[in-house]
Amino acid sequence: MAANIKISSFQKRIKPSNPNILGTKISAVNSTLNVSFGVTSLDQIIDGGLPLGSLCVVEEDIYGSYAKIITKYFLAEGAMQKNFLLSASLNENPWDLLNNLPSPVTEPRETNIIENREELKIAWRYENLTLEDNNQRLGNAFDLSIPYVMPETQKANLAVWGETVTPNLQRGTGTLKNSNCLSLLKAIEEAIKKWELDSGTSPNLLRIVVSSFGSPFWQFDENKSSLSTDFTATLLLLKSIVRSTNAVALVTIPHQLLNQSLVSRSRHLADVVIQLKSLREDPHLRDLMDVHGILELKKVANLTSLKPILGQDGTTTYGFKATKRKFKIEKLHLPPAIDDDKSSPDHSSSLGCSSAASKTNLDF
Amino acid sequence: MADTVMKALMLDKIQIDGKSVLIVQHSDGSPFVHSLLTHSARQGRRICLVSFSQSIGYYHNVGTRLGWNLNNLLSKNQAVFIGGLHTLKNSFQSQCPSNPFNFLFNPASCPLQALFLAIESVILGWIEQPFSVVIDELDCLLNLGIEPKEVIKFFQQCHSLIQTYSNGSLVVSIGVTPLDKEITQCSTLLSHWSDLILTERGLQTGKSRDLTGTLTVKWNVSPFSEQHFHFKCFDRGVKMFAPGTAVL
Repeated sequence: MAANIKISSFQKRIKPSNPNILGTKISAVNSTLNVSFGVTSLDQIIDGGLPLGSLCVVEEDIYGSYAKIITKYFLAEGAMQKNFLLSASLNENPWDLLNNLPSPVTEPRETNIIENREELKIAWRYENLTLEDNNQRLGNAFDLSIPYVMPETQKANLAVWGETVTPNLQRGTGTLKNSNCLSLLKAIEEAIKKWELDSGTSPNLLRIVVSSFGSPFWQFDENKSSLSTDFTATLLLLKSIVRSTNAVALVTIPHQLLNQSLVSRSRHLADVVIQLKSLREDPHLRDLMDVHGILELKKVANLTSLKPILGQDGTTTYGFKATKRKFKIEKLHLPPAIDDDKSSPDHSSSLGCSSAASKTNLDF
Repeated sequence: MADTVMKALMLDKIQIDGKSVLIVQHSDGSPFVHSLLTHSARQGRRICLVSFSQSIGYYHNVGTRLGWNLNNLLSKNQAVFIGGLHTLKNSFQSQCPSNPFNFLFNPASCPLQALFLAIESVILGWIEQPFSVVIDELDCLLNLGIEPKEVIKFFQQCHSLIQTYSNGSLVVSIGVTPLDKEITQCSTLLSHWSDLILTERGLQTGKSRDLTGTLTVKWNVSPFSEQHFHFKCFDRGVKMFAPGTAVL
């Protein structure tokens, strides 16, 4: 019986070959392709990262320094994954951001692995909490103090847009008038065409970073009576461009300088909105917490179903610590009250009730 | 998953023909737009979906979880999608006058005319059968630089379409924030012209795993009632509860 007889008519379904896009991971919750932020703790909160094709708006802290750290991590992760990078900025030279990316380090693995987690008898309420230091390294670790020297081959993957780069700008004739915005959108279009990212089969993606969008350098002329709709129109156009190509956009806005209605409109438009608040602004909270600032997930849109995406364990407010080398996000908690003389008892108790954001692990 | 939205809105007993629904969303009212789309699809109505800030893929993905297939309906010509992120991108790349978003780049005396004509031409093909016009996030037009009076005029034109062809229904959703005067004024004005107003808010104290938000249902015509509900969004639908009963 040498002839090959087909016994069943079963045919294996061959999936059309999907090129594996560099730097993305399939999300467990949503089955969207998620792009890592570079900060592993942020990835853990937002379900693996930003969905491919989405627009993320970061509302900067008052001096913009922590937002800048996040954009550096975002671009550095892109450099590691050999993605295309586009940095746009009017506040400073966009090349400065690309030349000062943090370099990757491999942290030594912890040797004391907790093998048998004993049942906690006294602190049994802590049993269900997720262990923060997982031995599984989920992404790259970066060191902010050492600037990354990009290999020559990767320098072709970079693009910038900024004041010194673009020549004479023309004002638009339709409702979108701002020349800076039109020029930025054109530059992004050209970059996408150059790298063929809208063909649908490209194995790579483009990370776009726009720093301090909406700062006075952008010249959005606002009178008291009308809002500058160029701001929101540009965000919407950016979202439309990014959605149909292999690209992700991260835009940081100085929300304290802008009209609050503009900020709330941009929250409606964007897919993911993260707000950073430095504790330098609020001297009362600084005594209570040992973090340097608060990170709030104002919005995480679900692009494939109705179910809302809440952060890890249901919280949307986290704290972050930024040292010279590292940036880390962690859950808020009250630090152990060892020195009770520092803050007066009335102060701490009233703020303890009102800061509903801090998640105390003890509930009676 | 029992979808209790239609029962709460009393739309299982009251016909939606000839009526206009306004969804005012303070945080995220998209579950109700999708529920109304599902309801229309299940009843076999023709759907004209107009969107300004989402792509077809998004409505299709959410729709499949809720039980209807947008791509199928599009191919059978029972649904038409106007606008969307793809058209917005095309308006930037190639500026052709029939694109509804062309007003962004070329001056026009009546910016929303192309959009309205597109909708009207679709409807005129469907006069005999029941149809629904669903406009998602009308406030995006304000974000794109159109003046509020033009947006109101556009809404009035769509509303008159429904009143002329009485087997159609209009669903409009508009996102507001209390700080934004223009949009709040628009939504208040539109709510006077609508028959059913759904006001969706998030919870006042933050986010919760038990509830997604609150909904106020107000009928301006026959039942003349106003009711409050709490709702929770699941992967496959939305469940409505009387206030306080979500955890029972």
